[in-house]
Amino acid sequence: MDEKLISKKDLLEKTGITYGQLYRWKRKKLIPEEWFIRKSTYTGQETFFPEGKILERINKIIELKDSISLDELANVFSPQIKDVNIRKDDLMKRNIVSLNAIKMFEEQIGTVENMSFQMVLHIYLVSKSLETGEIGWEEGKEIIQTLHTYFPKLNQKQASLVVLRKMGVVTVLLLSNIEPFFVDDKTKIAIFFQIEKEVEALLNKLMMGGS
Amino acid sequence: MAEETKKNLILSGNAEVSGGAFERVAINGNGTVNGNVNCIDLESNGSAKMNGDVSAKNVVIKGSTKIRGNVHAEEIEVQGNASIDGKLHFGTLQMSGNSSIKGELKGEVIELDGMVKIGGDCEVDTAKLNGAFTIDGLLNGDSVAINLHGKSSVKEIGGETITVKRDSAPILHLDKFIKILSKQLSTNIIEGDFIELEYTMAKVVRGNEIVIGPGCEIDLVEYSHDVHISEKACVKETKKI
Repeated sequence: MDEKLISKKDLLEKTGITYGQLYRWKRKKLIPEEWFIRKSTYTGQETFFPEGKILERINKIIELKDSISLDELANVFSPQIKDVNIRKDDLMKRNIVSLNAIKMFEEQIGTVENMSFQMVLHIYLVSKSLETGEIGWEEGKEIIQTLHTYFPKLNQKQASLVVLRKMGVVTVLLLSNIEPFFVDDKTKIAIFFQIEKEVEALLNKLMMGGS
Repeated sequence: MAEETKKNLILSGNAEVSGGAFERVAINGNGTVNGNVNCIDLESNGSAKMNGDVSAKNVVIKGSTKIRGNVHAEEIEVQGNASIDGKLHFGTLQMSGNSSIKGELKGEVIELDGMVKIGGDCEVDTAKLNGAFTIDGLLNGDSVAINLHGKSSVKEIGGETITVKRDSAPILHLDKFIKILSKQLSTNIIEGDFIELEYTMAKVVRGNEIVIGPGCEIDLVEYSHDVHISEKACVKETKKI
């Protein structure tokens, strides 16, 4: 993906943060290593960042850093399975995912009262997929199975969930990078979610309204 | 799993054992431990070989210990010649002697009094480096204080407060085995909020408040607030940003 880059110098100027903060946040893994992009310039090596992502992240850190510790913040941003448990009742009450999605998950995996973040994420992804109207009940089940079996193998890499449809046949893909991909003309991309983005969206929903 | 009382592992002489979970591990002779070790206290006095990861609360290395794996401990003290193939994660790390670590160092505090070679990044809150070192990666810390006793190099330094000094009074036990003549630091980039340098060769130094002391050779200094450059320093270009 051709993303706009911002140099470290411009970033500090634009956001008003210091070198100390930037390096501290890097150390605490609040800013992923992959965002530090090295390029040769006339002064030697310089570091650049994907502008959209880094600005969004830094604004978030600045907004949250006074209310929670840096280590907790790192947890919030890490694509790694989060260290939280969510009660099923809570999830239903707060309308974060559809009841159908929970039901489907339980049919496939079993009934759980206390759900790990990863489980909630899977339900959330299915719920969102169903909402699009692009997929049906059977396809939803396939998504759950795929996530359940293969998500742990991604090992905190950035990933996307893709559902392809061709002549009524559906394929569920879990891709471990966010490079663009191409399909033939007869294939339709029914679903395309970047999991990292969905993790953040879900966390926002979970944190809002405070539990 | 049921609670079980863990045993001690004491090795003296030429022994070879397999790893496991212990209360205390002490290696005194030419001991070899194969497999991962999980314990509260680890002390190695001889020329121990550990083929596996070490996870402990306290680690003390006095001999010439070789660890083929990662080390994870709250407190690590190295007085001999440790050579570690993997990463080192710690709360505090105190090193004297001459050690080499192939992977990254990550922790809260590192205090060096001696020589060290680090193959990866070194990321800590506080770094006090007294002696001579080679770091192939980035040295990143809130507070980085370097006291040069020998030729040192690091790829990059980044943090809040960064000071590099050359101590005029030699530490006798150190200078015996470090060349006194070339007490200088070479690096590509130094970036920090407050930077104070002596005897440092760098391509770029960027920061808020910068003091360039004697013996520095720097291609480009970029500062946003304040800069002082000693007459005994050589700076090719200075820019305010």
